[in-house]
Amino acid sequence: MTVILVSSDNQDFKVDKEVAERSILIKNMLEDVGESDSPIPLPNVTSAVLTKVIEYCEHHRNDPVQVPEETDDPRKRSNDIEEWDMKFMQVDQEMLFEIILAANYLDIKPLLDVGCKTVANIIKGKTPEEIRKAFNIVNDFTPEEEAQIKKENEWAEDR
Amino acid sequence: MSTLSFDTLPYEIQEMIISRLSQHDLAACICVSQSWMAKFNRILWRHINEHENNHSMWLLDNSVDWSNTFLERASTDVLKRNGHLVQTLGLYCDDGDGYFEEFMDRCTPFFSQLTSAELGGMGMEYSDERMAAFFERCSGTVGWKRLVVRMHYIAHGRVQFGQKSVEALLRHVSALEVLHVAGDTFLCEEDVRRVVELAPKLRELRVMSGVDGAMIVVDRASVGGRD
Repeated sequence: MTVILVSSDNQDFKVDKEVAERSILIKNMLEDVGESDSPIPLPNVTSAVLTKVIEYCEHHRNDPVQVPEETDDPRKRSNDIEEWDMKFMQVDQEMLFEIILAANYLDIKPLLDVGCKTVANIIKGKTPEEIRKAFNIVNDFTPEEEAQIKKENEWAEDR
Repeated sequence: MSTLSFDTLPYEIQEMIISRLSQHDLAACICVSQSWMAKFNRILWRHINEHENNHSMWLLDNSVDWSNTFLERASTDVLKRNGHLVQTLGLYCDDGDGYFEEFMDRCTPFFSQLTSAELGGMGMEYSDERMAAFFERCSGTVGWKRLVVRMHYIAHGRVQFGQKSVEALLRHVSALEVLHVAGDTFLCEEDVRRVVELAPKLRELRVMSGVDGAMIVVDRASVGGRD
């Protein structure tokens, strides 16, 4: 059985129900409407992003739905990403954020996790200046303020 | 379409990302900008883990040497401003050089909103009165959710978890979910029964306690069971 998803720019995507149901949002919608051929509008997702999301869901169509329980402390969670996902996430930053937003909206937790891990890995090991550069952020601290904050948080620095 | 950036992501997503970082990376993040500082400082302070020892096998992360640094580097002023942000405290001391005592005396008065504490190590030396005071003063508005106290049998020179600590603990268990206690304590079977009565959310309970050679071992399934 297939369903038709409609992107915000009015493109139709015909996908297997099993693939579409990787999205909990779509799964719930399909359960609510019952047997129906009517297309599902996704006004928050552009066709470019939806193409990527469907690619992810196709690849992971047979994954067990159960997400392994995360530990209470997120810092103990692994930021390791499997190889296919890593390649899949090699997109420009704007697309990366778009995928994260779409995964959040469509409720595809594994994709949201991979997206968050990817961004966390961009930050990992960088200096504040390198982080600003990576995300195009303006430093609005005075040099004195920055020195002060750095000093106050020395306890958390690498040692 | 407006251009997306990290700062335009919904805050819940930003937090999901930032929460995955180590203490070291978090420290870099809060130096990035005023808004990052305002947003993420509370994440930096949420978990404090201090492992004082010389054995790399205990280190949480091999790239980080946790020895003796928190006390040296965090000033009282900084603790005063941020102590209420700390939710979980892990303190593991192997050397009996007073580091545990010093850490507890100097830092925990500012940790007013703890929900979880994990204390242990051979250097864990703290009197019953002070342990009781810790249980009283640091359990914030929520109360203790998780308590793990592992006292080393080698360091049982004096009573650390005596009657006063037990009483203090029992006053703050209504939200308790996990309790592990191991070592020479005064926690007896009767106390364990009271914990179970007073802590409806308890899902994990492990007590290995011995006073004068009497040992009780308890888990949730067989509360009060003698082994």
